[in-house]
Amino acid sequence: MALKSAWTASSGELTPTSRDGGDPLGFRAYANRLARRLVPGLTAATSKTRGFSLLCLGAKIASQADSDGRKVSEDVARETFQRVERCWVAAQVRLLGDDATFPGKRRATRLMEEASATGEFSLTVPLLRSQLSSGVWGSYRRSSAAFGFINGASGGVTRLSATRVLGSGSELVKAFKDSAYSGTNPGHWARLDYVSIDDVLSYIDAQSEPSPEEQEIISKGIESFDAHHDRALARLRGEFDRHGGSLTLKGLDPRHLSADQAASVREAKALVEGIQEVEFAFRDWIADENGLSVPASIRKLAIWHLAGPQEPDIARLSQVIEDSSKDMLARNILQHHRHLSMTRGAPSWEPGSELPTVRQRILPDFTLKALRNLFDEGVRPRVDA
Amino acid sequence: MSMPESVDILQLVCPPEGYAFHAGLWLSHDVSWNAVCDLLAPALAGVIVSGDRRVQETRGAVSDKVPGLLILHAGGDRFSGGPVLPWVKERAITGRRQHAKAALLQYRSPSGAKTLTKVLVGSANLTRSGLTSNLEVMAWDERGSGQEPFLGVDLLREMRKLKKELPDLTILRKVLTTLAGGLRDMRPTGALMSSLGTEKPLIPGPKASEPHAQKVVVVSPGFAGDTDTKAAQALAPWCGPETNVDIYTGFAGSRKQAESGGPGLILSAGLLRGLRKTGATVTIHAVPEINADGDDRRRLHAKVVAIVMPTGTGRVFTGSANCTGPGLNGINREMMVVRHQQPHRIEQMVTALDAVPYPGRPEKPPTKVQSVQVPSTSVVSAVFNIDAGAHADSVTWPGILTVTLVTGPASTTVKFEGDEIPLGVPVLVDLHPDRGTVTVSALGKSHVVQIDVVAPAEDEEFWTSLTPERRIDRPDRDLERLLRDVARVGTAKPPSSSKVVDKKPMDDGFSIPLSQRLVVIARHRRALREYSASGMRRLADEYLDARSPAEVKAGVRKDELDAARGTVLAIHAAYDRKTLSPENPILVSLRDAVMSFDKLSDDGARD
Repeated sequence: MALKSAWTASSGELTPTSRDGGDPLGFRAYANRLARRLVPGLTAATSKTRGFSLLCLGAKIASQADSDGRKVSEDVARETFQRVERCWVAAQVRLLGDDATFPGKRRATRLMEEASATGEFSLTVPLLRSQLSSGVWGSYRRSSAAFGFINGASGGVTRLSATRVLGSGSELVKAFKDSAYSGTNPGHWARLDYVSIDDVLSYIDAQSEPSPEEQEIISKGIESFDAHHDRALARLRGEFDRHGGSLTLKGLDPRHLSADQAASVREAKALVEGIQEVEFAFRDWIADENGLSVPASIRKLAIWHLAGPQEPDIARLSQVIEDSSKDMLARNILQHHRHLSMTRGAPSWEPGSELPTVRQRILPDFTLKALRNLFDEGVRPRVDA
Repeated sequence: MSMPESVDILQLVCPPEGYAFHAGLWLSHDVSWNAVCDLLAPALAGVIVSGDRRVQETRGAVSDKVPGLLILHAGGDRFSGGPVLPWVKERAITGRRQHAKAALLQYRSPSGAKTLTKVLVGSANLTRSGLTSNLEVMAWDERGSGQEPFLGVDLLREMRKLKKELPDLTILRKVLTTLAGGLRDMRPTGALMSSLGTEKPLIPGPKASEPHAQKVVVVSPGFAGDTDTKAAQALAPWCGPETNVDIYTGFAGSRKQAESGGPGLILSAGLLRGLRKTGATVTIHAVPEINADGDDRRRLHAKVVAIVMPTGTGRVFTGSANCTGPGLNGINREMMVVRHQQPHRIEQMVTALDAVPYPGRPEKPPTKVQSVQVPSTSVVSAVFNIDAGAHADSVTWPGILTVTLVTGPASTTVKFEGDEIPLGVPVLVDLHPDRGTVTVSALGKSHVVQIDVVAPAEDEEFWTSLTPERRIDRPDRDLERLLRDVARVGTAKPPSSSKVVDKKPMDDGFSIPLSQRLVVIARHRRALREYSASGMRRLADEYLDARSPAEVKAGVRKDELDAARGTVLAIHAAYDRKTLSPENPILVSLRDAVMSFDKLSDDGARD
């Protein structure tokens, strides 16, 4: 290889992590832990039924032996998986335009425009930065393993070439192919560098909504997972039905949830109150430099009692608030923020900071939005299982 | 420059098929350890999972027995710490500002017989934006063996020069020796312009016989101070009345705003004045940093100087030096790669920037300019030895933290999780894997240092022994059978008092006897981690006590069930130390032995 040089690429879409500075006072990590208790097995990113279908299809094709019967290398498996995903996203963009729902649609739209002259869509160009970890594989792998569609990660480093699609995962692949790839062979296209927009992509029925068979298989996978998790997701489906298709923290009735879910709802509500009273006030102060305006009642917020010592960031903040006089409160909360930022390697805020993230006022949704979306799409674990 | 093709830094550093990352040295001005953990290290190690497991697998993906990666940076507020990453170390360089961005990375085949080295020299810092979204420039090459010239040899020489200035670092010595081994017979290219070890200009002036350039292209963020005339002095020898100077810099707005000359372009008046003084015609080009989707993350951070001669030849310098006095004159530690290019290729390169001529008036840069000298700070060594029996994916690791002062005033203080740590004294602490730093303070200034974390000596596979996901999420067949039993018994109709209920084959309605149920639970004990104390008590009742209300009232088999319940709760207590300790000393011993059982069974599984 000879010396090369180039500008660096940017696909712009990157999943932010909890260490990026969006959690100035230490509330958000606790929110993530509560989300795992309230909605086990899912994350905020697992909001599309067909994400599971596409993951299983990609894993199945990627781990298949080559035409000579040889086991595929890890590099080949990874590339093949990503091409399956690129082909699907491109087909969605072609079919649905701006209404496409899968990550990478913006890049796919641009590539589609560029490909209009030749009519050939390139499957070699990544749609996302680090497509494996920020795309379907990264988002749906763990939940798919939990629901029994693929085998889970072993004790060492996970390899795509070693990932096996299990029985129910294979059924899901079949249902997905029957519904969306009828008359086409996704495994064949995934081994090509280019696919024809008119002769291939237009034949993929890349609707966002899953077929009834896919809904059924995923519902069963959830049921099987739920059997070991106190029927947590089925209970939430019950709440979804009871509230006419709504699933909000406020609307959840603890009497219909498992004991752990009920406790996590109680803590989540207290956490939301804490974020509104303390974190939002802190953000306003940082943005406007008008001084920290918090009511005296923040010392009595339920969150300080409910979080317990296993949440050290909350416990420390609680101590800071309890120990501070009115005059010192702002300074000490800022000090708590600086300490937290330093230990996490996140940027520290100072009053007057013009960072756009300072003004964000986003409350955690504890994965309820993703779950509601799955229910909206027809996923229906039996409530009376 | 092969334009308009663009490159992904994280793809560049991925190990080639059949190779694994072995050793490397990375120079950067700014370092975000989170970006290293989330992006760079997984790419180097070939890790593809996301979520919590991403950093866990990354820790174990490169052996802690190999030299690993050493990152050298400018220190102070230019370094932010983060999670534990055992095979990556960091050290700050003080004195002349370390601004170079370059890497030399060695990969080896599993047997170690084959070696491949990659070299990267560019403008990107080890930050999230540098690695993913900024507009940066990168030069790279790779080589397995042979005697051909290779840029890696030039870089290795510069790194050796730098080593002479640094305290004797064992890790640096080890990494450099390993890297040199992979470059054995290769020769330098002469293409690396460097002020890493010695202060010198990055853009050499023309030879006496050379005329002024026809064109000088500068691509740089507007970092020069408003009165900085030194950058212009560095370029002036190439410029004359017949020279066109094209400056491309970032514009904080959309293309439309740039075309209308709206505010958002910062450029030093000193630079412009100095260049115009040579008689050259200077044109400013704005590179819009907000795209049509409103995305403003693509900041221009690339640094390029291209010189086109009237003879139809051209040279392109790409790398770390901003168009500032300390940058181009090599007062900072900088690196640029020079390549000969045809003028049309240079034209192609700047066309790819999608810039527009800027009709507006540039804004003044901020008055605060970073100093060229980085003051020395207290240097500490922080080592944490994890206790035997801990797991790589535990929430925290118990162990011994020892912090020693290498250099610095005696008043230096070190804090761990907000608590002061005595220097030179081993301290027992719990380390959270996400927070692998200590804070060092001296003379009113603070900085963070990553802790070197050492796995238990007797557990060679500590970092790779992660809990398989199957065990967490799906208890296997025996446990599923037991749960089915529980469900069946739970939904069975209550027996009528006048009849003898046939509970065959077992006496309490389960198809598995109580003793066997205990065995199943013990075998699948790791699944109990998922349960809270109250959930566990409820579960124990459901699993173990299937007596009828009448039997409960009569106290039938009470002792046996109490003993079974106590046993299960003791096993659970091994994973959840927040639960109350068992009162019975035998159960306390059982609880304490569970971790040893886990280790034994893990070792057995490995054997």
